[in-house]
Amino acid sequence: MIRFLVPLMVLLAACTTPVRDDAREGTGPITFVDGRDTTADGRVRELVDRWNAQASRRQQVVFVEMPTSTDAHRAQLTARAQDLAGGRGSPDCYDVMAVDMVWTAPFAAAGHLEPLDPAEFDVGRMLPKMVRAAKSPDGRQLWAIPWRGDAGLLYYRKDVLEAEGVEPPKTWNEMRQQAITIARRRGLHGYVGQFRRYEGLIVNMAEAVWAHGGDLERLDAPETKAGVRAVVDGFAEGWIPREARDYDEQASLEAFRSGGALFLRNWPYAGPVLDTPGSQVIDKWGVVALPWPSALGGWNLAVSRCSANQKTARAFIQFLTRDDNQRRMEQLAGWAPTSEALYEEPNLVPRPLRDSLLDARVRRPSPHYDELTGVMQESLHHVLENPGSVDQSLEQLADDLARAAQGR
Amino acid sequence: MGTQPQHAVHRTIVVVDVSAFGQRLRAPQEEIRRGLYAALESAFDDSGLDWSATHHEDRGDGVFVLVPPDVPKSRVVGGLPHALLGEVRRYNATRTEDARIRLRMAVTAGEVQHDEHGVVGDEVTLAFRLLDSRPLREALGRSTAVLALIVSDRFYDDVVRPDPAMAPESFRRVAVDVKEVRGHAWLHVPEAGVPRPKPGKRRGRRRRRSKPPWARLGLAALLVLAGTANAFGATPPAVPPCPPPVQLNVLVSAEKEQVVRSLALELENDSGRHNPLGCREFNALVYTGSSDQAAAEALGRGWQPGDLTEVGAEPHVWLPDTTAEVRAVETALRQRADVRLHRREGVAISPVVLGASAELAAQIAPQDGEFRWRDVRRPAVVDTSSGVGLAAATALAHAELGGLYLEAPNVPRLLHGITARTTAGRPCAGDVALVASEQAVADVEGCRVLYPGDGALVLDHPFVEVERPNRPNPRRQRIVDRFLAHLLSPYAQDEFKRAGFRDVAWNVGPRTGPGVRPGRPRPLPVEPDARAVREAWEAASRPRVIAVARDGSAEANLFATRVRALAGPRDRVVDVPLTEGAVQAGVEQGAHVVVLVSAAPAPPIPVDVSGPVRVVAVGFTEGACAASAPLSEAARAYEGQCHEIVARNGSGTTQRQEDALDAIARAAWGRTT
Repeated sequence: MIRFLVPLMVLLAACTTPVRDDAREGTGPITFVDGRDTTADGRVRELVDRWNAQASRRQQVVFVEMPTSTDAHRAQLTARAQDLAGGRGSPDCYDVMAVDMVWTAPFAAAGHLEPLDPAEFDVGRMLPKMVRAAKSPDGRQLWAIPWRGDAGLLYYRKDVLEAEGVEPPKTWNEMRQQAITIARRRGLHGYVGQFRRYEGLIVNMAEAVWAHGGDLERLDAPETKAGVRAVVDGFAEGWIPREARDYDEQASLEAFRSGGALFLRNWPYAGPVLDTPGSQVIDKWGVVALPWPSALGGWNLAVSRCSANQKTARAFIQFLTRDDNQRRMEQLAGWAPTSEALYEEPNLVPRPLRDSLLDARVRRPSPHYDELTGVMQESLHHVLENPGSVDQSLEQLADDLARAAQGR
Repeated sequence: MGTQPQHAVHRTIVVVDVSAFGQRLRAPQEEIRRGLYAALESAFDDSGLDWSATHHEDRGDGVFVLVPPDVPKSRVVGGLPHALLGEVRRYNATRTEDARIRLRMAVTAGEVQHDEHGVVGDEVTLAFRLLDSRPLREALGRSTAVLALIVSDRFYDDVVRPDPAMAPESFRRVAVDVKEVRGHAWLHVPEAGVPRPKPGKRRGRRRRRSKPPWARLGLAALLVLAGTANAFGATPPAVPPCPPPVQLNVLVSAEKEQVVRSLALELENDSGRHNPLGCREFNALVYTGSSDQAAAEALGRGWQPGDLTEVGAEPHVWLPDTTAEVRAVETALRQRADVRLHRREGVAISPVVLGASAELAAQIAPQDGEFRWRDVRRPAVVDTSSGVGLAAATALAHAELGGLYLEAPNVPRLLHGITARTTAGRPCAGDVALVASEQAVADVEGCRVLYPGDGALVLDHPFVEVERPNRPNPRRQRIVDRFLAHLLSPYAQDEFKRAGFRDVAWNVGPRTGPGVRPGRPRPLPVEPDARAVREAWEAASRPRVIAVARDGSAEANLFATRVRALAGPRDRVVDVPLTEGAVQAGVEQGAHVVVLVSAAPAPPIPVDVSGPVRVVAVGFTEGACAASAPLSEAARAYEGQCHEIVARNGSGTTQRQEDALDAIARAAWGRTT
């Protein structure tokens, strides 16, 4: 169902796209919204200031930060776009929006975004999978420009593995072995990740499934079931602690930071936190790329359909995504760039992040991503609590996904 | 009564409960009880079960039945619900709305035992938990069905699923999460007003979303089935895709957050039912903001960009605790054209009451559960950043001031008198009392609810629509209206009561806390100015340092004692010498207020000290506060007053002393604005 509904949605959205109008070539002041600027020293604001310093007085950008919680951030963008649907030029319009990669397709399908010309932004220089995640599911229309990427990393207790004389694991099985034998010997939990019922669970389960050669899009494949079962077994065998079923990024990070676990799956932001005062693992941890494919995360830049000054909006996006500015944001804020060339520059992107990101896979874009992920979260969390139900639950999940893919 | 098993025996357990029994008047309750028993008896007999052979216990608004071990379980589920449904319908047909019955029924099976307290067993507990579970309550709350049945996962697997005669496909799998029970169970609503699952679908969905009403669509249903068959082909579906759901942002007080969130999410999940295409119609975000006060202030500013990061997303609906908070925002919004508030109905009620330990209750409300505010000596600290805290402060202030006129010169002193008595000690332990909503008090361990004899402030929980005239959204408007209707529906009103609130008709829930009285307490009709009360209370609560510079005279010493008595446990009074450097010395000790007290002419005090210090001067000689006298000049320079305390023109010194103390309290604990 998903396969044919999605193109239809896009087709409908495309039909309502106004062909060449004044707004498309309009220049003037715009509003840019992004999540809260959590970079040290406010590097996003600084970037906007640099645009404003070189732009004409007519094309100044106002930067507005969105609520910290992802749900509230998305709710704010959605409600504002819905209020202004069908109109142009309201001073309330968020002309340029930073949107989570997985929001791109739903926002586009809802008619909130303007289609973009790939050539205008030279997206050929960008990582193809990030570009794919910014396109409509059929790949025909580009809705946003990839701005920054994110990928999972495997943090480990360097002190412990060194004392044991072993290298960090290179496969799921190696990790499992180390988590069972070494961790148990040292009185540590083996592995902690994000298994609470939220988006993090999908990311972690997708990765475990990829580690076993499966894919959550092929629920009936034996490899997929093996991947799901590997996590279920991890809990049953005890090397993934029961508590991890309630862990999000923060809670799993804390479990590792307090010295309680041998391995942690988390995002690059976790590294600096492990060295802050109060940490029990200062100088005792190491990090490698995830030994298996990571789920790709990241943020795209999109032009709102309500914008009356879209030419300025596009120019501003060109500015933000320029290679030199991406390089700068990597150096100053640790952001993973989206431009492929930057990954070739020596000493720019740290090795583990580079490897993980280049190997990372996209969660399937869908206009109904919310509904799909909600159904998957429910089912997969159910599996974690009912280890006997893997086959049955995945079968049922396929049915449920078909319905959710219609937004019902 | 039937047999009384002494040893563990495997039995079928049936519990039945009359929905919303607790709200009825006494007369129908009796009638319903009789009707329920008659219906059960007939239904058991009709399904070939001998009622007299069962063990049954009366549970007030329901009945608990143990079916003899030799009765096949399938008979209990196969025939009983339908027989019971028939009996209930027959009974209802001849009754008025008041006396009609709607039943919830739960069935499990397992080992049961009798001990000295009665029947025990895990499955017995499970049956009661399932009976209490949300999906079962919803099944009745959302439909016109008169009977809803839930069976345990195990019962379904062992008894229902293997037997096609039981129509296993008419059961819907639901998630239950009640007390220690977390997992799944199976729901069946015989001949319900709600749509049943499509035949051919093996099992229900785990998600608590109901099925779309395909049946109403007729042709569309067929097309969808065709679509399913074509899922891997390329035929486009005949059903149009769903439009994106409307975003609804609901800003709610901390007090109601939990219950409103679950009600909003239920409506959201259920919204497909109202939609002819089965499309989910809206997404709700329910949040509190950093505090009720911060939320109200952000609204009053029209929700500026900075408020997005500090407080949260722009709200479309605001559910504060009191109308007083709404009025304050309306006043602030008078200057603005971009945001308008529309007050709609209240969605729940809770009076502001006192929580007291049993011993304190016995002291201050020995007879009727009513107390006088003057007997409340040690209230727990009041946090006015919440709507409830604001109401608590209002109640305490109103009692102390005999009204809410906050501009009187003695107000800071009186208010500080209360805030100084508040304690961070555990509420409802010993003599520490808790001023809060009835719902919150009943929830605190050890608290007994007492009602103020002279009237209680009432939290009216208004539903407020936040309109932005520049960007009207009619689609959202419909959702807002529906959300309000949902909050006022019998089902949601029951949920409010279960959470400890009263419904809009003042009814209390089935399980009330100690001391809660079902009647309506006498209301205290005050309309506080939320902003003024908050400011006055916060100012009066500030810990202050007061420096007293005195000349050593008897009058000054005595007055200094009175100043010391103003201070609470979080304040400090220090002595500094009455010299030219008195103000400077006070500031060095951290003083917010310096009091100069002299019975003799004071030395000139330089007015060059910077900082927010204020000076109050008190002179015991005639002319001490003459315009050019040093005391007067110092007071004037530091935004204070000079008080001359001498007997003159027949008026005594007592009142003048009190005026001077009021002035000191104003300087220390008065509002700065």
